[in-house]
Amino acid sequence: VASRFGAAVAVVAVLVVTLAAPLPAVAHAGHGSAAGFLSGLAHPVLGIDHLVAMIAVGLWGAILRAPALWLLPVAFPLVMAFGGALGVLGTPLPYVEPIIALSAVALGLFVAFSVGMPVPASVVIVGVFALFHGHAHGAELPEAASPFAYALGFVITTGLLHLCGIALGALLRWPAGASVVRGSGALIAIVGLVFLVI
Amino acid sequence: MRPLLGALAALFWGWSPTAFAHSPMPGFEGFYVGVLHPLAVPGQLLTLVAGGLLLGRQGPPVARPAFAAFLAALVAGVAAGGLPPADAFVSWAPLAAALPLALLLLIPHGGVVTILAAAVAGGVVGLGLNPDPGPFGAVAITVAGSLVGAPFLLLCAFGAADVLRERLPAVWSRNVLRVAGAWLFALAALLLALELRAV
Repeated sequence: VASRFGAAVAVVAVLVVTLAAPLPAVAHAGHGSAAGFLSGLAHPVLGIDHLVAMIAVGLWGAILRAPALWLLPVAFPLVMAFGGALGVLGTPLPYVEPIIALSAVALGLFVAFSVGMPVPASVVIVGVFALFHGHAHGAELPEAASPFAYALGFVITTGLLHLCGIALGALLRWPAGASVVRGSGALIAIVGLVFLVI
Repeated sequence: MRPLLGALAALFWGWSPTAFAHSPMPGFEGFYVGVLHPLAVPGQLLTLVAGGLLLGRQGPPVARPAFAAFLAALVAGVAAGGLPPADAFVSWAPLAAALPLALLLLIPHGGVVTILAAAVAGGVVGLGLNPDPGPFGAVAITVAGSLVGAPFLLLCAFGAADVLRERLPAVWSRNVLRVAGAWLFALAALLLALELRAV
């Protein structure tokens, strides 16, 4: 009975939040600039260096298995928040964009070569990269017409990208799937390298 | 019965909200503004969602006293609301409160901590629920709406966490809630930085 009640409450919750959340009018969603929820949703997808790095976080977690599988997606937003706060407050960090590209290269290579690592080390590496990703997001936040809606959008997309990486990592149980995962890692590293060089 | 209904109708007619200094949601008035108020204030929304997930993670034995503590603190907060610095409880205070609540989703803790956290959530949200000054009746109706909306949001998040806890293996439900906690923390921290930037 309790779980049925919980399910009913959850369904109502989704409906209420969807219908009543005060989202801004988005006749013209921000293309290249921060505006509202849809811009936030689109931001991590439109920045391909962000996109591949987020997928790589999930993929690497899948390779390292539990507890890294869930620790990396938890550590990422926690540290990203500090980077974001620095960005919002206008505190400069050096080489933000190159390090974001470097994150794609490094994480892509870790996936491509199935690099194993102690969990604390992997959390620290992902955390350092998260700091710079967060700074990039945070620096754009003050320009958003609706900062909450924008932040909510990019949080949802980033979480879903981590989930994509973890789901793709589920292919590791098959030999052919492992090749796909490693190939994806190599592709991610190449994309990062292109951003690093350009 | 009819005189009573007539009196009530007259009372509510007299209480009809007329003017607010500003409405958080143009087009909505009175009771409904109160219901939606926690949805329109990001800090309150994040605090209530984090608090609800926290209660849902612990299960009914802890959730019941924690919900009672939340309600008591909410009412006490509303009663004490309007005192300075009232604006802080709409801007940065609920965001600051959401940070530890979200972090509690990441770490194991006892029932007493959950009950205390629920009381903090209720108090902080309650202190920020008072609408702009206006006719007593209009204020009372709006506050009544908020006293419905805030617990409802908390219960929604509780229900979602309860479903996860009941339906998923324990390790998965804990991890989903940890990820949710991490992202709620990130959202609250970013918006808090934005509030501090404006100071």
